[in-house]
Amino acid sequence: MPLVFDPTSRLLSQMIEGTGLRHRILAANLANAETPGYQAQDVTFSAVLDEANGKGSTEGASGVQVQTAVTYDTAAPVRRDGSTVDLDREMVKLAQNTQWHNAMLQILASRFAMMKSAIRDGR
Amino acid sequence: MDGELSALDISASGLVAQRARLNVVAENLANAETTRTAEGGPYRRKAILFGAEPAGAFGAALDAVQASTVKVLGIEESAEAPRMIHQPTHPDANADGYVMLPNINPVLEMVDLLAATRAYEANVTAVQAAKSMASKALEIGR
Repeated sequence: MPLVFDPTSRLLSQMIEGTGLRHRILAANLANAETPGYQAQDVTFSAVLDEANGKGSTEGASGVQVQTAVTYDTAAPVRRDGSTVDLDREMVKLAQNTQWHNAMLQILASRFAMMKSAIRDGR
Repeated sequence: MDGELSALDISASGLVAQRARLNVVAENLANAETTRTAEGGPYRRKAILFGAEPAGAFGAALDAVQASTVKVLGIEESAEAPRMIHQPTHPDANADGYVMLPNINPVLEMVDLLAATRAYEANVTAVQAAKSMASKALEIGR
């Protein structure tokens, strides 16, 4: 198994990429908070089987990939000006997404620190 | 490479738009009693129009739905009738002693001012989140 590109690190980096994309989408919603008729967007995350790599098992991290899709947020209430941006809703999502992003990065950093520790023979 | 950096561009467009809106509100409030303008007649209330603009062709190739920046489409003058106040001593009073004052309601302007400030702050929060995400990424491998 390659040292750095193990399944967990791969999944973590896919999640980090996904939360980065979600931040972009949520920032766009906030920028357009006062645009009449603007449709709020969101990113959905789903686990898909990693068939491209000849795997495809839900057992453990090795056969799964994280897939993101940008969709319209249809659950959001429609305002009188036709916009579906709700400032409170967006701010909660933004805070949540930032925490997720930072958590994934923290885990990835810990994994690298562990590898570093192993390379240095525990010193 | 997209991600946090273009998220900053998107948030920046929001900041620019809300600041432009604040300028319009300030102009309306400053001219709430202006009876003479270059076009003749009293000052007319101005309103700003926002529109969403898809952020670059790169996103379009990847996703059907894509992030949009906000753009100021224009500033339009209100067509509402001016307020008529009976004040015969005013230099701009008409033959019946009425003065045409701008169609500005200070309360509405203050509400708009608050809404613009809140929207501005929301974009500032998004910028700070993007910054924290980017600086957290820089901590990897430290």
